[in-house]
Amino acid sequence: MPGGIRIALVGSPNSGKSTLFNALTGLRAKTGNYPGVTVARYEGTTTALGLSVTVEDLPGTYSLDPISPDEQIVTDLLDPQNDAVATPDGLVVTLDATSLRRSLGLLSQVLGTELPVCVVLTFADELARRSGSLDVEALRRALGVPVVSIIAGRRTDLAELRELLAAPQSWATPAILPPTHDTTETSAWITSVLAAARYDVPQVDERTRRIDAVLLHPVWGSLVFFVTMFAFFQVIFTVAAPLQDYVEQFFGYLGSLVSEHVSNPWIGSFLSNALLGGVGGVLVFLPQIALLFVMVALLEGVGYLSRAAFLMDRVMAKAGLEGRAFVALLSSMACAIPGIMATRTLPSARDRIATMMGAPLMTCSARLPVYVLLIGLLVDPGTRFGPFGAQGAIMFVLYLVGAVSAMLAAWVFSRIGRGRGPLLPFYMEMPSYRMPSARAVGLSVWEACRAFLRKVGRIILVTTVILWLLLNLPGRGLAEMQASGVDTSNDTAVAAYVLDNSLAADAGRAVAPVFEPLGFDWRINVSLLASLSAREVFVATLGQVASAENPDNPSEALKAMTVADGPRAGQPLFTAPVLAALLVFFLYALQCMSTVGVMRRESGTWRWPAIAFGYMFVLAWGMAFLTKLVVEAVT
Amino acid sequence: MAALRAGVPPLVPLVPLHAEPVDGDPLSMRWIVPPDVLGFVGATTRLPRVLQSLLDDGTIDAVSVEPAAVRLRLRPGLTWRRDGAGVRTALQAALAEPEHWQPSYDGTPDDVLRMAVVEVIDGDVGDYVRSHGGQIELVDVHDGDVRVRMNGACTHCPASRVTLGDRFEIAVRARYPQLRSVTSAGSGGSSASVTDAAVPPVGARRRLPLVFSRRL
Repeated sequence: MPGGIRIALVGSPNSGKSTLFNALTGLRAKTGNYPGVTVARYEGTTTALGLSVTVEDLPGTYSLDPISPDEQIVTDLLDPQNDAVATPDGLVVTLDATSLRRSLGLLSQVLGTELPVCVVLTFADELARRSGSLDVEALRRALGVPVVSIIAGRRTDLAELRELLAAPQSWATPAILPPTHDTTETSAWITSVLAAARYDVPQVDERTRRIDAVLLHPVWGSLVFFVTMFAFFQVIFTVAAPLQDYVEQFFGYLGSLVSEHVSNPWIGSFLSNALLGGVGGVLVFLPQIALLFVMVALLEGVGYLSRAAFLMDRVMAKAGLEGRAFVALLSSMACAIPGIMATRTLPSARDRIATMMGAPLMTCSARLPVYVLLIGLLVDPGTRFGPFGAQGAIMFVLYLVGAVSAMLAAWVFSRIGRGRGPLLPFYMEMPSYRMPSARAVGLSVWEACRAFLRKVGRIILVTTVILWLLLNLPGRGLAEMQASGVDTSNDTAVAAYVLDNSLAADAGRAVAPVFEPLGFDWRINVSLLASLSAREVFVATLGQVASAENPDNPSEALKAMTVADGPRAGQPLFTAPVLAALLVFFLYALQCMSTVGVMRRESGTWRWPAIAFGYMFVLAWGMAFLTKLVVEAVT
Repeated sequence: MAALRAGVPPLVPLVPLHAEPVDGDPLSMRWIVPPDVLGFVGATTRLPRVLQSLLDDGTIDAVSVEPAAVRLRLRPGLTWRRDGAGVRTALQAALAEPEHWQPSYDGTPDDVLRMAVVEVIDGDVGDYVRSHGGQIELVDVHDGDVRVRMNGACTHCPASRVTLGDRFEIAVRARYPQLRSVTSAGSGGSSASVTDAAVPPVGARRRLPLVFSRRL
């Protein structure tokens, strides 16, 4: 059979569509993109009666009248006239049994495509728990298409569906299509079908209602929200620390292997400085990233994230932004890239762009290594502000300022993008509280870690290697060094001379006039330039420089660094004002080419990434300068 | 009507309506409507103008009213899939003016109830009883009271009262909400009410149990 059978899963968000997809295809799913746009495309295969069936998980949608890019994909795919994407042989529509009325509107439109349709009822167990009722056989008669009720985890239910999947052309079709052109006729059709199926609308789950009375309360809800977020960061920083130590010890062990067994100085320097010092220094943060995603997946699986979005919606609506924008900003705490991609759920183009412009200001996980390093140089671990450690307090302030700045930026951009448009209704699902599925949490953490490792393996590795070359080239002859008065018998002095006359140093000095007012010297400059590829590279680069200057104790070397050129030459480099300025610079600057790339893809033009890069650089420089002045005045 | 002319959707919701095909007769369609909309069963002599005109121009050639449905038959050569949307819109409009439907035979509400009982006995519930080797027989209908006889395997079945109380009565009431009681006239002559005592009356129950019937 050429091509085999193609089935697409259609359903509203949270209708159990992806659970069904995972159950059908196992972990054999592959992801890709739809032509022209970058909405993720999930495809997998399953077998039905010995036949191989390709199953495609379409983005969740509430209707086929597209109001967001995700929904546009579904509409295009179901349109046989649209040649850009192959039309599937059959559609499986997932209907949440606990909210049938709304789901049937989507179903009526899907039936209107005249493609073979099979209905899968999900959450029937939830309906039963709430003492609702539904006659599946009567529903099948009223709809005129096959209806299968599937309870997650029940294999026999799946077997019945698989049998159907083998032959979509044989599915029953409705004798007459439901009305779709007139909404009152459609709603009369829905009412009639539900009555025929003896559907008893389940009252809001008592347990959910009682929990929501607290969690959605303007005062208590907000309090719980802030406590949750505070605990969230505490857990990320405290629990990950020991795990991080293990990773560090592992790299330390690898380093000792290198110094024992590698005698060639070039290979040794490459392995220990570039690979272990640079790339390894970034990999250390894997536990924190995994933990961040465990927490987010848990909060989402339980159903809290939707409530948080609802709470924030009230605040953000006052600023002219909608709650979904908050979800996008929240995702940006992990990384701005998923955050920017999450803006696809925003129906209004104005809000999408505004949210994109703010998202990179949220403190992403890539800033973590930079902040940890700089805060470590700025204050002693023992310093305390009242009951809280000073280091932790500074970190908290940085996160807070980042979040506030992101929201302010989104607000400003939504203001200046073509006036004040009407706020579209916020259709976020409030799912009942459920136990999160271990599989869903596992999958999301695995995806996140894989993406991080891929980033380390590609962009960070490549820039670190390039920097290593730039820091060590051009090679200097002994005669030249002796002529400059360098003690060639002292390895460290040789290394320092090579470094100070390297191509990287030239580049760092070339941009010196820009950063001179902030108190940065060429080493900071070149690290900043390098960190344009990814923020973590800043740590990797300074690490390389430091270990070249003092291979035995790089962190001491970092503290003892002195300004290389200019009138301040010889004075300590990392003074409190300079460190504070650097922290603030990283808070605002768009030091991430992947984010720029994603912005270009998602907005469709170079205009918005250019604006974002420009305004963030100006903001970063200005705020860093201001911070330096203030800190200089105080200290 | 003023609102309709102004292009504003009417505030009154339309009569709920969906179609279920008639086995073996592709030209006929049962349009399921809420019980009580029309208040009679059988053939009609006069219909509201929108629907009557379809009958007059031959688009549909038969109309008959059932307890919770209107059965329409298309002229041969037409199909519901292709030509049905206009008929639906006309029927929907006609259902909004029940006073303009004229039955050809002025029956009593008991006629509606009788037909509802027959439909249930011939339908799913009857199928279920027959699958157990039993049989439900309508004895009589009077002023909203139904008397049936449970025959065959049902005669001595302890669960027959539950079947009658649960499934049969729910199904009849869905077609005729004014149903007062269902009584079983035992084959031996003793009669028992199923709507009291042992089985709680259906209307008193706030929620129905979840029924997931499976196809064979």
